[in-house]
Amino acid sequence: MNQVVVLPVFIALCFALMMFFFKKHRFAHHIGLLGLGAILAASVWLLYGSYDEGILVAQLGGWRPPYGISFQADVFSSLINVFIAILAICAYVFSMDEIKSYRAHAGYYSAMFTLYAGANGVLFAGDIFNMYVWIEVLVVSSFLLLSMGQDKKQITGALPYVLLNFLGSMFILSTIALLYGLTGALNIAQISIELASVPDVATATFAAMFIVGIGIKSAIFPLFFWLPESYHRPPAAVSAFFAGVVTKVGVCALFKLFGLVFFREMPYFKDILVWIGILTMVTGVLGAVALYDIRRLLSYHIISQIGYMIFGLALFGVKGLSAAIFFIIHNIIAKSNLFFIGAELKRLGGSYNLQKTRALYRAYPFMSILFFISAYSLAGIPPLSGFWGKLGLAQAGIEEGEYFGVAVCFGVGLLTTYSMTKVWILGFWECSDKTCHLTQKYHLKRNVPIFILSAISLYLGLFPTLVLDLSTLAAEQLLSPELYIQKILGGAQ
Amino acid sequence: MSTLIIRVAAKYLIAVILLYSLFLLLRGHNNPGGGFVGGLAAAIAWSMFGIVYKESVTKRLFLTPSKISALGVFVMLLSGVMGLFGGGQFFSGIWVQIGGIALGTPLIFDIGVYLTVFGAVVNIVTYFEESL
Repeated sequence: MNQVVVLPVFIALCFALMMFFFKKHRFAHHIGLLGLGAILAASVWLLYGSYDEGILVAQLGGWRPPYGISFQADVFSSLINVFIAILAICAYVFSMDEIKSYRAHAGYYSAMFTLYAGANGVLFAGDIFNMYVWIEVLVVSSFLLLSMGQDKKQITGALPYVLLNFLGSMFILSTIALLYGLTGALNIAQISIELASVPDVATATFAAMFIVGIGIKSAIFPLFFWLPESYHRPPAAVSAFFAGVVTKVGVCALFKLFGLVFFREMPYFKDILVWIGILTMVTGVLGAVALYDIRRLLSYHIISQIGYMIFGLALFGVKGLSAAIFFIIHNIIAKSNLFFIGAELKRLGGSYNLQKTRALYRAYPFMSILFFISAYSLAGIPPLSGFWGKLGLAQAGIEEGEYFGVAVCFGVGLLTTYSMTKVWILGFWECSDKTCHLTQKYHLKRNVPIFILSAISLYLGLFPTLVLDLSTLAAEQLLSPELYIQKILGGAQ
Repeated sequence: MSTLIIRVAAKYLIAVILLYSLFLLLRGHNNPGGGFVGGLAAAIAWSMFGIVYKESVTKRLFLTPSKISALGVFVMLLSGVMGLFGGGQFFSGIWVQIGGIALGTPLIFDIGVYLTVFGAVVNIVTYFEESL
């Protein structure tokens, strides 16, 4: 059973290779769907296993912890992984329609699989250096996907992304080196024990350096400016997958490190994270309000939503963390779906620019309703999924006495609603002068993923109990490092 | 770069370097060496071939360099799976004694590394050679 932890990464790598060898074959990418289906099955199995038996640990090569590399699946990582797998399938199906053959021949599908393998590795790695390696796998594949196509604009967008991400990697790597020098441990559970005997200054430095390193990758407040420059340039399937996976995985790594390692030692980091969260929320949403290009607008919303997650982490209680985990899940689904719908707006309405595009509602009511669901989920209107995340954050914030932060949450929520309403009015609602006529057909491969994601979004809104319970469980696990220490090092001590 | 001396010498040098790369690969498990260095050495031999004879190396290889790299990763994964079925854990080492020589899955893993590094470096070198 424990070996299943390795399975998603393994399947993803195998299929990446297969896609690479047969990239010129006409039906190669159809076989990839099989792989993604297998990954989803393995992820659900893992979620069930970690729910049923607690944390699952696989020791690679049979080497005992803390010396060997361990892969661990807790409820947190498997829960996130299930939704990433669903998103991966949707992005994959979408790209079967969108991606032109020259991209496929340059290895597009294999890069998608390695990106997924990297994301999985980060989620499941129990060893901090191994986590770094997977972050690199993730980031290098994302470079590939960003710059593929040799479009000049794409390269200009990819350049700041590449440079800043290397800087971030350098931060992470040097932190790991320092940490190893001081504690002699790389296993997260072991580090959690050893840090008790390390001077506070050093621990604070490590935590701060991790925030900077991972913060560059997940676009938190002062380090986000590469994101709106690069995320809107690649094809929509890539943007959507990036929006749902690359930045979110960074946040997940931060959750894992702070939950398991740093928070017990460093309570005063709470204030720093609260302020990072607040500033990220506000700057992101202000950027979004000012813009009319739907893809850039959505890129700014990514930043603003990252702010909510950091705020949830900063509250550092089961309630805040579980709300943040629910929020990540809701975001993986809703935000990526909006990127897909943005691409449809371009295809059906004629432009990414809201002022130029034709309004879709009369000709494509179905698509408009799907947009409505996702957009207002993001804004957090009551029966939809974003509401539960924000409600949880607000409750936890009030309990913790972070009244200002909660007020900012509501303000940003209002601005998000405003910005989504702007998209709805300009892009979808009927305006007499630029109504869209039924010229394009619905494409099944594009619209089924959108439908599925919207349905999941609706499900998360109407029946949130299951996922809320799971995320509460995940938060409880994350906040009790003893469980990990016992499970991973239990035999060794 | 293609004087007579170097063209004659290259033939022998390439053979020696390739042999040496295999030596490094096989020596690697317990002593300094291993798949990475071995792959680099082999890549040096092939790049030398390309530079001296002004002939595209890729035509002489059984697969394109990038596919050799991918094959290498595949071999590495294979060694992991063999560990899973033979030792219960992914990447467990399985060893067999054949005539006093211990052979095991770490060697297969190293061969994978060798192929990956070789393919990647040859790919980079040929790319630069062709664009020069």
